[in-house]
Amino acid sequence: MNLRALIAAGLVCLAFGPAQAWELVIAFTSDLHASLPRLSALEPWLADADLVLDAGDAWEDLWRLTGLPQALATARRMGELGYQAMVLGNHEMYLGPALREVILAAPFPVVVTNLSGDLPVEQWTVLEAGGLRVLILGLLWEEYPWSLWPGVRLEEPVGAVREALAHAPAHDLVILLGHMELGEARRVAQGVPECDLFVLGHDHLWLEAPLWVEGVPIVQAGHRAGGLGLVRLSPQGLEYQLVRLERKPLPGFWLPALAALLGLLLAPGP
Amino acid sequence: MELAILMWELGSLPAAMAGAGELGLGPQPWVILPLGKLQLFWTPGLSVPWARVRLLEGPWFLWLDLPPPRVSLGRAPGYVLVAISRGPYGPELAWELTPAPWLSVLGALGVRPWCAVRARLGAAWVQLTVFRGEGELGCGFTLPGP
Repeated sequence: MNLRALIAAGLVCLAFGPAQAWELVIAFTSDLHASLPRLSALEPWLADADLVLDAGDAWEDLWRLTGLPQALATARRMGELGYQAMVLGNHEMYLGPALREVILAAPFPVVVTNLSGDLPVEQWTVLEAGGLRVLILGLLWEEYPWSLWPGVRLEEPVGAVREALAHAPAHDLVILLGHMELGEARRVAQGVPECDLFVLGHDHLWLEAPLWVEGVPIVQAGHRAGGLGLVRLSPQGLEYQLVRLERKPLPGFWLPALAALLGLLLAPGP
Repeated sequence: MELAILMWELGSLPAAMAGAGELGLGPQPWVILPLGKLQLFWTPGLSVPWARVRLLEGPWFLWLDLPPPRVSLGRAPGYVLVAISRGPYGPELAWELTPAPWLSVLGALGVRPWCAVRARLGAAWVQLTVFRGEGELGCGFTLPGP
Protein backbone atom coordinates (compact mmCIF):
# COMPACT_ATOMS: atom_id res chain seq x y z
CA MET A 1 0.00 0.00 0.00
CA ASN A 2 1.41 3.40 -0.87
CA LEU A 3 0.67 6.89 0.42
CA ARG A 4 -2.30 7.42 -1.90
CA ALA A 5 -3.88 4.16 -0.77
CA LEU A 6 -3.28 5.08 2.86
CA ILE A 7 -4.86 8.50 2.31
CA ALA A 8 -7.85 6.85 0.63
CA ALA A 9 -8.17 4.46 3.54
CA GLY A 10 -8.01 7.41 5.92
CA LEU A 11 -10.80 9.20 4.03
CA VAL A 12 -12.97 6.08 4.06
CA CYS A 13 -12.46 5.77 7.80
CA LEU A 14 -13.27 9.45 8.21
CA ALA A 15 -16.53 9.03 6.33
CA PHE A 16 -17.70 5.70 7.68
CA GLY A 17 -16.02 5.15 11.00
CA PRO A 18 -13.33 6.22 13.42
CA ALA A 19 -10.32 7.69 11.64
CA GLN A 20 -7.11 5.61 11.75
CA ALA A 21 -4.84 8.54 12.38
CA TRP A 22 -1.21 8.11 11.55
CA GLU A 23 1.60 10.53 11.08
CA LEU A 24 5.21 9.98 10.17
CA VAL A 25 7.93 12.58 10.61
CA ILE A 26 10.97 11.98 8.43
CA ALA A 27 14.17 13.94 8.95
CA PHE A 28 16.79 13.73 6.22
CA THR A 29 20.14 15.09 5.18
CA SER A 30 22.33 14.70 2.14
CA ASP A 31 25.91 15.48 1.15
CA LEU A 32 27.13 15.74 4.74
CA HIS A 33 30.72 15.41 3.46
CA ALA A 34 32.13 14.39 6.84
CA SER A 35 30.99 17.68 8.40
CA LEU A 36 31.26 16.41 11.96
CA PRO A 37 31.71 19.87 13.53
CA ARG A 38 28.25 20.84 12.26
CA LEU A 39 26.39 17.55 12.46
CA SER A 40 25.62 17.70 16.19
CA ALA A 41 23.68 20.95 15.71
CA LEU A 42 21.02 18.93 13.86
CA GLU A 43 20.43 16.65 16.86
CA PRO A 44 17.20 18.26 18.18
CA TRP A 45 15.40 17.77 14.87
CA LEU A 46 16.81 14.28 14.29
CA ALA A 47 15.83 13.17 17.81
CA ASP A 48 12.18 14.17 17.27
CA ALA A 49 11.78 12.34 13.96
CA ASP A 50 10.28 8.89 13.42
CA LEU A 51 12.72 8.18 10.59
CA VAL A 52 16.18 9.62 9.99
CA LEU A 53 17.65 9.09 6.53
CA ASP A 54 20.57 10.28 4.41
CA ALA A 55 20.94 10.52 0.65
CA GLY A 56 24.67 9.92 0.27
CA ASP A 57 28.06 11.64 0.11
CA ALA A 58 28.19 11.54 3.88
CA TRP A 59 31.65 10.16 4.54
CA GLU A 60 34.18 11.93 2.30
CA ASP A 61 34.96 15.53 1.45
CA LEU A 62 37.27 16.17 -1.44
CA TRP A 63 37.33 19.90 -0.69
CA ARG A 64 38.93 19.22 2.69
CA LEU A 65 40.69 16.02 1.59
CA THR A 66 39.29 14.09 4.54
CA GLY A 67 40.55 10.60 5.28
CA LEU A 68 39.40 7.26 6.63
CA PRO A 69 39.29 8.37 10.31
CA GLN A 70 36.80 11.12 9.43
CA ALA A 71 34.72 8.67 7.39
CA LEU A 72 34.53 6.21 10.27
CA ALA A 73 33.84 8.94 12.82
CA THR A 74 31.02 10.35 10.68
CA ALA A 75 29.42 6.93 10.21
CA ARG A 76 29.51 6.26 13.95
CA ARG A 77 28.21 9.73 14.83
CA MET A 78 25.35 9.28 12.37
CA GLY A 79 24.45 6.12 14.24
CA GLU A 80 24.48 7.96 17.56
CA LEU A 81 22.20 10.62 16.09
CA GLY A 82 19.63 8.02 15.11
CA TYR A 83 20.19 7.60 11.37
CA GLN A 84 18.37 4.48 10.22
CA ALA A 85 19.45 4.15 6.57
CA MET A 86 21.49 5.85 3.87
CA VAL A 87 22.42 5.35 0.24
CA LEU A 88 25.98 5.51 -1.07
CA GLY A 89 27.05 8.58 -3.01
CA ASN A 90 29.86 9.01 -5.48
CA HIS A 91 32.12 10.37 -2.73
CA GLU A 92 31.73 7.16 -0.77
CA MET A 93 33.02 5.33 -3.84
CA TYR A 94 36.13 7.56 -3.84
CA LEU A 95 37.07 5.82 -0.58
CA GLY A 96 38.09 2.72 -2.50
CA PRO A 97 38.31 -0.67 -0.74
CA ALA A 98 38.31 1.14 2.64
CA LEU A 99 34.60 1.77 1.99
CA ARG A 100 33.86 -1.81 3.04
CA GLU A 101 35.27 -1.08 6.48
CA VAL A 102 33.13 2.06 6.83
CA ILE A 103 29.94 0.32 5.69
CA LEU A 104 30.51 -2.46 8.22
CA ALA A 105 31.18 0.12 10.95
CA ALA A 106 27.97 2.04 10.22
CA PRO A 107 25.30 1.06 12.77
CA PHE A 108 22.51 1.29 10.18
CA PRO A 109 21.88 -0.33 6.79
CA VAL A 110 23.48 1.12 3.69
CA VAL A 111 21.02 0.58 0.87
CA VAL A 112 21.90 0.51 -2.82
CA THR A 113 19.17 -1.21 -4.81
CA ASN A 114 20.89 -0.93 -8.20
CA LEU A 115 24.35 -2.21 -7.18
CA SER A 116 25.61 -5.72 -7.59
CA GLY A 117 29.07 -6.86 -6.61
CA ASP A 118 31.43 -7.13 -3.71
CA LEU A 119 30.15 -4.41 -1.38
CA PRO A 120 28.27 -5.20 1.85
CA VAL A 121 25.19 -3.12 1.01
CA GLU A 122 21.51 -4.01 1.29
CA GLN A 123 19.20 -4.08 -1.72
CA TRP A 124 16.42 -2.70 0.48
CA THR A 125 15.46 -2.40 4.09
CA VAL A 126 12.07 -2.21 5.81
CA LEU A 127 11.84 0.16 8.78
CA GLU A 128 8.96 0.10 11.25
CA ALA A 129 7.85 3.58 12.28
CA GLY A 130 4.55 4.98 13.53
CA GLY A 131 2.90 1.59 13.07
CA LEU A 132 3.84 1.58 9.39
CA ARG A 133 6.24 -0.59 7.42
CA VAL A 134 8.41 1.70 5.32
CA LEU A 135 10.34 0.18 2.45
CA ILE A 136 13.62 2.04 1.86
CA LEU A 137 15.28 1.72 -1.53
CA GLY A 138 18.51 3.41 -2.62
CA LEU A 139 19.92 4.43 -5.98
CA LEU A 140 23.50 5.33 -6.81
CA TRP A 141 24.23 7.06 -10.06
CA GLU A 142 27.18 6.04 -12.25
CA GLU A 143 29.33 9.07 -11.46
CA TYR A 144 32.28 7.44 -9.73
CA PRO A 145 35.74 6.16 -10.76
CA TRP A 146 34.66 2.90 -12.37
CA SER A 147 38.17 1.51 -12.77
CA LEU A 148 38.55 1.61 -8.99
CA TRP A 149 35.65 -0.84 -8.67
CA PRO A 150 36.21 -3.69 -11.13
CA GLY A 151 33.93 -5.99 -9.11
CA VAL A 152 30.94 -3.63 -8.94
CA ARG A 153 28.14 -3.20 -11.46
CA LEU A 154 25.35 -0.63 -11.44
CA GLU A 155 21.99 -1.60 -12.89
CA GLU A 156 19.64 0.77 -14.67
CA PRO A 157 17.86 2.58 -11.78
CA VAL A 158 14.19 2.29 -12.77
CA GLY A 159 14.52 -1.38 -13.70
CA ALA A 160 16.33 -2.09 -10.44
CA VAL A 161 13.61 -0.36 -8.39
CA ARG A 162 10.82 -2.16 -10.24
CA GLU A 163 12.60 -5.48 -9.67
CA ALA A 164 13.00 -4.67 -5.97
CA LEU A 165 9.34 -3.67 -5.61
CA ALA A 166 8.33 -6.98 -7.13
CA HIS A 167 10.30 -8.97 -4.56
CA ALA A 168 10.35 -6.73 -1.47
CA PRO A 169 8.43 -7.77 1.65
CA ALA A 170 5.02 -6.30 2.42
CA HIS A 171 5.14 -2.58 3.15
CA ASP A 172 2.89 0.46 3.59
CA LEU A 173 5.12 3.23 2.22
CA VAL A 174 8.01 3.45 -0.22
CA ILE A 175 10.83 5.93 0.29
CA LEU A 176 13.55 6.23 -2.31
CA LEU A 177 16.99 7.54 -1.39
CA GLY A 178 18.75 8.66 -4.55
CA HIS A 179 22.20 10.06 -5.16
CA MET A 180 22.11 11.56 -8.64
CA GLU A 181 21.59 14.77 -10.59
CA LEU A 182 18.12 16.30 -10.50
CA GLY A 183 17.45 15.58 -14.18
CA GLU A 184 18.14 11.89 -13.66
CA ALA A 185 15.99 11.91 -10.52
CA ARG A 186 13.07 13.31 -12.52
CA ARG A 187 13.43 10.45 -15.00
CA VAL A 188 13.52 7.89 -12.19
CA ALA A 189 10.46 9.44 -10.49
CA GLN A 190 8.51 9.16 -13.73
CA GLY A 191 9.29 5.45 -13.80
CA VAL A 192 8.36 4.83 -10.14
CA PRO A 193 5.07 6.68 -9.52
CA GLU A 194 4.29 4.50 -6.47
CA CYS A 195 7.19 6.11 -4.60
CA ASP A 196 5.82 8.14 -1.65
CA LEU A 197 8.94 10.23 -1.08
CA PHE A 198 12.17 10.67 -3.05
CA VAL A 199 15.02 11.98 -0.90
CA LEU A 200 17.72 13.23 -3.23
CA GLY A 201 21.39 14.07 -2.84
CA HIS A 202 24.32 15.09 -5.05
CA ASP A 203 23.45 18.56 -6.38
CA HIS A 204 23.64 20.31 -2.98
CA LEU A 205 20.28 21.97 -3.66
CA TRP A 206 18.33 23.74 -0.93
CA LEU A 207 14.83 22.90 -2.14
CA GLU A 208 12.36 25.19 -0.37
CA ALA A 209 9.44 23.04 -1.51
CA PRO A 210 9.07 19.50 -2.85
CA LEU A 211 9.48 19.12 -6.57
CA TRP A 212 6.52 17.04 -7.76
CA VAL A 213 7.11 14.66 -10.67
CA GLU A 214 4.24 12.32 -11.63
CA GLY A 215 2.91 12.63 -8.08
CA VAL A 216 6.29 11.81 -6.53
CA PRO A 217 7.67 14.50 -4.18
CA ILE A 218 11.42 15.01 -4.62
CA VAL A 219 13.14 16.74 -1.70
CA GLN A 220 16.72 17.79 -1.04
CA ALA A 221 18.24 19.70 1.87
CA GLY A 222 21.54 21.23 0.91
CA HIS A 223 24.92 20.00 2.02
CA ARG A 224 27.58 19.82 4.72
CA ALA A 225 25.08 19.66 7.60
CA GLY A 226 24.09 23.25 7.06
CA GLY A 227 20.49 22.20 7.60
CA LEU A 228 18.08 19.35 7.09
CA GLY A 229 14.71 18.54 5.62
CA LEU A 230 11.61 17.55 7.58
CA VAL A 231 8.71 15.75 5.95
CA ARG A 232 5.46 15.04 7.78
CA LEU A 233 3.40 12.33 6.07
CA SER A 234 -0.18 11.66 7.12
CA PRO A 235 -3.50 10.68 5.54
CA GLN A 236 -3.96 14.38 4.82
CA GLY A 237 -0.87 14.45 2.60
CA LEU A 238 2.65 15.82 2.90
CA GLU A 239 4.06 18.78 4.76
CA TYR A 240 7.64 19.82 4.12
CA GLN A 241 10.00 22.10 5.99
CA LEU A 242 13.54 23.04 5.07
CA VAL A 243 15.58 23.92 8.15
CA ARG A 244 18.70 26.00 7.53
CA LEU A 245 21.13 26.69 10.32
CA GLU A 246 23.73 29.35 10.67
CA ARG A 247 26.77 27.77 9.10
CA LYS A 248 29.99 27.66 11.02
CA PRO A 249 32.95 27.54 8.64
CA LEU A 250 34.55 24.14 8.26
CA PRO A 251 38.32 23.79 8.44
CA GLY A 252 39.58 23.96 4.87
CA PHE A 253 42.51 22.32 3.16
CA TRP A 254 43.20 24.04 -0.12
CA LEU A 255 43.31 27.63 1.17
CA PRO A 256 45.89 26.91 3.90
CA ALA A 257 47.80 24.73 1.46
CA LEU A 258 47.85 27.52 -1.14
CA ALA A 259 48.88 30.04 1.48
CA ALA A 260 51.71 27.77 2.62
CA LEU A 261 52.86 27.28 -0.98
CA LEU A 262 52.78 31.01 -1.68
CA GLY A 263 54.65 31.64 1.55
CA LEU A 264 57.28 29.16 0.51
CA LEU A 265 57.67 30.72 -2.94
CA LEU A 266 57.64 34.34 -1.76
CA ALA A 267 59.83 33.86 1.31
CA PRO A 268 63.07 35.82 1.08
CA GLY A 269 66.07 33.66 0.30
CA PRO A 270 68.99 33.09 2.66
CA MET B 1 60.32 -5.92 -20.56
CA GLU B 2 60.71 -2.18 -19.99
CA LEU B 3 57.15 -1.37 -21.04
CA ALA B 4 55.73 -4.16 -18.88
CA ILE B 5 57.66 -2.80 -15.88
CA LEU B 6 56.39 0.70 -16.65
CA MET B 7 52.83 -0.64 -16.60
CA TRP B 8 53.49 -2.20 -13.20
CA GLU B 9 55.13 0.87 -11.71
CA LEU B 10 52.95 3.66 -13.09
CA GLY B 11 50.24 2.21 -15.30
CA SER B 12 48.39 0.00 -12.85
CA LEU B 13 46.73 2.64 -10.68
CA PRO B 14 43.35 0.84 -10.56
CA ALA B 15 45.06 -2.45 -9.72
CA ALA B 16 47.19 -0.75 -7.05
CA MET B 17 44.25 1.11 -5.51
CA ALA B 18 41.56 -1.55 -5.81
CA GLY B 19 43.83 -4.49 -5.08
CA ALA B 20 42.85 -6.12 -8.37
CA GLY B 21 45.07 -8.10 -10.70
CA GLU B 22 46.03 -7.77 -14.34
CA LEU B 23 47.10 -10.08 -17.09
CA GLY B 24 48.92 -8.38 -19.96
CA LEU B 25 49.11 -10.58 -23.04
CA GLY B 26 51.25 -8.57 -25.32
CA PRO B 27 53.40 -7.38 -26.85
CA GLN B 28 55.25 -7.86 -23.57
CA PRO B 29 53.36 -10.23 -21.26
CA TRP B 30 53.03 -9.58 -17.55
CA VAL B 31 50.87 -10.61 -14.65
CA ILE B 32 49.82 -8.83 -11.45
CA LEU B 33 48.54 -11.37 -8.96
CA PRO B 34 46.34 -10.05 -6.09
CA LEU B 35 46.88 -11.72 -2.72
CA GLY B 36 45.02 -9.61 -0.16
CA LYS B 37 47.11 -6.58 0.71
CA LEU B 38 49.98 -8.06 -1.30
CA GLN B 39 50.34 -8.06 -5.07
CA LEU B 40 52.98 -9.93 -7.05
CA PHE B 41 54.25 -8.85 -10.46
CA TRP B 42 56.09 -10.99 -12.93
CA THR B 43 57.15 -10.60 -16.53
CA PRO B 44 59.51 -12.82 -18.55
CA GLY B 45 63.04 -11.71 -17.72
CA LEU B 46 62.52 -11.33 -13.98
CA SER B 47 64.13 -14.11 -11.98
CA VAL B 48 61.77 -13.56 -9.02
CA PRO B 49 58.41 -11.77 -8.83
CA TRP B 50 58.33 -8.19 -7.58
CA ALA B 51 56.06 -7.38 -4.68
CA ARG B 52 53.69 -4.56 -3.74
CA VAL B 53 52.28 -4.02 -0.27
CA ARG B 54 49.14 -1.89 -0.09
CA LEU B 55 49.45 0.07 3.15
CA LEU B 56 46.43 2.41 2.87
CA GLU B 57 43.30 1.46 0.92
CA GLY B 58 41.48 4.76 0.72
CA PRO B 59 40.66 7.54 0.43
CA TRP B 60 44.41 8.01 0.59
CA PHE B 61 46.12 5.09 -1.11
CA LEU B 62 49.67 4.24 -0.12
CA TRP B 63 51.68 1.37 -1.49
CA LEU B 64 55.27 0.18 -1.34
CA ASP B 65 57.00 -1.71 -4.17
CA LEU B 66 60.05 -3.94 -3.73
CA PRO B 67 62.36 -4.15 -5.61
CA PRO B 68 63.34 -1.50 -6.45
CA PRO B 69 62.13 0.48 -3.44
CA ARG B 70 59.29 2.71 -4.59
CA VAL B 71 56.62 4.40 -2.54
CA SER B 72 53.42 5.83 -4.04
CA LEU B 73 50.64 7.96 -2.61
CA GLY B 74 47.36 8.24 -4.49
CA ARG B 75 43.85 9.63 -4.33
CA ALA B 76 40.73 9.27 -6.48
CA PRO B 77 39.19 12.72 -6.94
CA GLY B 78 36.12 12.06 -9.07
CA TYR B 79 36.72 10.30 -12.36
CA VAL B 80 40.48 10.74 -11.94
CA LEU B 81 43.04 8.56 -10.23
CA VAL B 82 46.35 10.27 -9.41
CA ALA B 83 49.43 9.10 -7.56
CA ILE B 84 52.82 10.57 -6.78
CA SER B 85 55.48 7.91 -6.97
CA ARG B 86 59.02 8.14 -5.70
CA GLY B 87 61.51 5.51 -6.83
CA PRO B 88 65.01 5.24 -8.21
CA TYR B 89 64.15 7.40 -11.24
CA GLY B 90 62.90 10.28 -9.08
CA PRO B 91 59.40 11.62 -8.50
CA GLU B 92 56.75 10.77 -11.08
CA LEU B 93 53.07 11.60 -11.32
CA ALA B 94 50.87 8.78 -12.56
CA TRP B 95 47.31 9.57 -13.64
CA GLU B 96 44.25 7.94 -15.14
CA LEU B 97 41.06 9.58 -16.39
CA THR B 98 37.92 7.45 -16.78
CA PRO B 99 35.51 9.43 -18.96
CA ALA B 100 33.32 6.34 -19.50
CA PRO B 101 33.12 2.88 -17.94
CA TRP B 102 34.67 1.40 -21.07
CA LEU B 103 37.41 3.98 -21.59
CA SER B 104 40.51 5.20 -19.76
CA VAL B 105 43.18 7.69 -20.71
CA LEU B 106 46.28 7.17 -18.60
CA GLY B 107 49.92 8.03 -18.36
CA ALA B 108 52.66 9.59 -16.26
CA LEU B 109 54.61 12.80 -15.98
CA GLY B 110 58.20 12.84 -14.82
CA VAL B 111 61.46 11.43 -16.08
CA ARG B 112 59.64 8.72 -18.07
CA PRO B 113 56.62 10.47 -19.62
CA TRP B 114 54.14 8.29 -21.48
CA CYS B 115 50.45 8.11 -22.20
CA ALA B 116 47.97 5.47 -23.27
CA VAL B 117 44.36 4.90 -24.20
CA ARG B 118 42.66 1.78 -22.85
CA ALA B 119 39.29 0.46 -24.01
CA ARG B 120 37.50 -2.16 -21.93
CA LEU B 121 34.90 -4.78 -22.71
CA GLY B 122 34.04 -6.56 -19.48
CA ALA B 123 37.32 -7.80 -18.01
CA ALA B 124 39.14 -7.62 -21.35
CA TRP B 125 41.00 -4.53 -22.51
CA VAL B 126 43.09 -3.27 -25.41
CA GLN B 127 45.58 -0.48 -24.93
CA LEU B 128 47.61 1.80 -27.19
CA THR B 129 50.66 3.07 -25.31
CA VAL B 130 52.91 5.87 -26.56
CA PHE B 131 56.36 5.76 -24.96
CA ARG B 132 59.50 7.46 -26.27
CA GLY B 133 57.70 8.45 -29.43
CA GLU B 134 56.67 4.90 -30.33
CA GLY B 135 53.25 3.37 -30.16
CA GLU B 136 52.67 -0.12 -28.75
CA LEU B 137 49.37 -1.96 -29.01
CA GLY B 138 48.62 -4.40 -26.20
CA CYS B 139 45.76 -6.32 -24.70
CA GLY B 140 44.93 -8.20 -21.53
CA PHE B 141 42.48 -8.85 -18.74
CA THR B 142 41.64 -7.31 -15.40
CA LEU B 143 41.57 -9.98 -12.69
CA PRO B 144 39.16 -9.76 -9.76
CA GLY B 145 40.48 -8.43 -6.49
CA PRO B 146 40.86 -10.38 -3.24
